[in-house]
Amino acid sequence: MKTEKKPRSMIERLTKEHPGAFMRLAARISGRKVIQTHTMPENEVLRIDDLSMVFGGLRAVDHLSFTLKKGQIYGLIGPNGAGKTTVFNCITQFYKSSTGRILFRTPQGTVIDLNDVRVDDVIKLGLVRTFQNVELIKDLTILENVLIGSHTEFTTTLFDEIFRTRRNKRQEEALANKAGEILDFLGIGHLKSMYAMALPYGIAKKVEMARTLMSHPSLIILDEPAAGLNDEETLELARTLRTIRDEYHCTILLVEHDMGLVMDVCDEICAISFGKLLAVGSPLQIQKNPVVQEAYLGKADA
Amino acid sequence: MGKSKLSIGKGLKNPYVQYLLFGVILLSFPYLTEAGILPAYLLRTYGFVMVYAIAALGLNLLLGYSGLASLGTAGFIGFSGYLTISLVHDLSLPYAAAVVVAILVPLALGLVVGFISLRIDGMYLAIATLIVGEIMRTSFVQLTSWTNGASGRGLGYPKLILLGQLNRAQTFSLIAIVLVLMMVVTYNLIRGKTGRALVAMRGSSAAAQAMGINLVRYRLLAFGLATVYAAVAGIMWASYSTRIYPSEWSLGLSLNLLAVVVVGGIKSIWGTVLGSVIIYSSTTIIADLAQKIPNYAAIKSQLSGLPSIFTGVLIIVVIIVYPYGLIYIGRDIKRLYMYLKSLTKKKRGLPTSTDGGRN
Ligand SMILES: Nc1ncnc2c1ncn2[C@@H]1O[C@H](COP(=O)(O)OP(=O)(O)OP(=O)(O)O)[C@@H](O)[C@H]1O
Ligand SMILES: [Mg+2]
Repeated sequence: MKTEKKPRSMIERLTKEHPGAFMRLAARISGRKVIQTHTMPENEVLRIDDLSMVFGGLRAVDHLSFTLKKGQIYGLIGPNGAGKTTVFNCITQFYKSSTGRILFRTPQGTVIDLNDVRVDDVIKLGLVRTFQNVELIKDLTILENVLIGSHTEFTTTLFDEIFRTRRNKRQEEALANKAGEILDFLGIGHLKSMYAMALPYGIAKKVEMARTLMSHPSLIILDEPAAGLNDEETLELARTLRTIRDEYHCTILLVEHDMGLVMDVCDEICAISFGKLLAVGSPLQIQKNPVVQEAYLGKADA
Repeated sequence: MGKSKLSIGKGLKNPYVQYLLFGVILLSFPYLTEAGILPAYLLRTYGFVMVYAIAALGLNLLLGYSGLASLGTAGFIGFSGYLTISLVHDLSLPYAAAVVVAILVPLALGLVVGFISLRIDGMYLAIATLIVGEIMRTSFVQLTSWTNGASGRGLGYPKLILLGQLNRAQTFSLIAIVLVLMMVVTYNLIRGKTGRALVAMRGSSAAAQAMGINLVRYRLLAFGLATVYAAVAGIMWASYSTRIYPSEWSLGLSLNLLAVVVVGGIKSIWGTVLGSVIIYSSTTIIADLAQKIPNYAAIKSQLSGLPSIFTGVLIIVVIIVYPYGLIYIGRDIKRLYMYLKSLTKKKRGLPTSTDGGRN
């Protein structure tokens, strides 16, 4: 029985992965770790396998398993406090899960367990996320906020920046153009020099979405992208999600309470409650599922 | 004619042109004082104002951009000051070599403090850096064989490889050039990837990490940069003053530099310069005025805190009235002016266009 509460520390992690003291030191200095590769069927992108997350005595996620296929828009639904955001935090390594594997296929085709990856390395594998409480940087402009999403795309060194070398200028320019294009695509290109302060929900969510698109993602995970949007904006979001999947060749995993959107846009849905799996299926199957209906009973939008 | 005026105006908007102009103005100071146009004491005052600005630029990177507090700046300035002096005089190293060592050694120490900062935040970090600074100050007091204790130790004006022995005015110019270079470097850093990463780290550590920003690395970078700036300031300080004393590297100096950033402008290069002028001049003026009080010698010890009280009050007032620093007053006045202009135009029934002012 494992009751690990806190995320594992760097040292603890390295000790586990490299039994020898010398290897530990070398890994620490180089920042590189020998990551084991795994196997999963060719058409799968993400496989959550027996995932659990325990906070104190609370099992926020309880032996959960589900699988995303390439090119899917996949919905993760459940009542408030079901553990959806916790699942996202485990996938993106903000939390180190108590048990389970999180297998992910990188754009290069290798399959790795995300638990072996540091939180800020996740995006380098092509997996990027948004946050339930929209995490924008208030004292940067919208364009700069989007450029944060291309942080790992830059190959410039500190030297390049200090002396403003050609390489630095070229990359800044190219990525700023790309950011501009993405903002145009989302229809907020004209706002790019505005500060990301006190933005209406609809715009803030778009900025966050634009930020995810900067890093050549192969899997985007969105935490309640429709929260705070009006009906019209939600319809636009549904169109945008499909376009992103088709044009950016992304798989999308989303948590959402707006059942209209979920049923409209998702290819497959996983319903959870109290961290446990209720059902997996097509929107129609989920809608008809009595267990899911019961979990949502008393909720207006079920 | 109108066109050339426009292009000059455009050129002035370019920060590099601004920094260059600023440098030219500073370089003219020695000539203006020599010609008697400016009073001679300004050369001394503004030499130290520039040293303040160098250190405060680093502190602004740390506090303003990265949101990491430090109250140990004075210790690092003093450390590299003493290092330079002892390398040049005790080890007979050339100035340039001493400069390199006097930057690298404090940098290593700064990175250690950076490592401490990985575990603690906010007020606790401020306290930890304060303790580091105090340990350094006490060491300067105790290590009399190295620092010559309260009698102080001097470097003399620097002797450069190609230029030979500098005099006072030339040393002033050297500091001016270093300051302008530091301003350019700071500007380059903050407008690019590093600047965005530092601000992101402060604004939302979750978003920063999700976007691939390694917090460990950027915190260390912020501390490393701030230390390099402090070290450069220390070298310039030692190069410009006849002697340096252990008592100078106290918490009071660290607080003054904090005041420079807060009063002048958080996240503003020009704000840092403005803050340096305000804080350095006002504290020296107050100290000078205090000396004019009759019976000064008798109550000297009681008056020594006067400048600190002033800066303390100033910080509080500015935080209440102008939380981001006085440099932003200019921007607000400009906005008000634009607003009033647009109002009067509307009244006259003219269309408001962006280039309406060209007549
Ligand atoms: N860091 C944490 N420490 C302790 N408990 C936590 C933590 N994060 C989440 N929890 C708990 O885990 C449970 C699941 O929370 P989670 O935020 O994942 O739910 P959710 O499905 O995203 O809900 P919502 O729809 O309201 O966003 C809740 O009971 C919550 O209180
Ligand atoms: Mg949630």
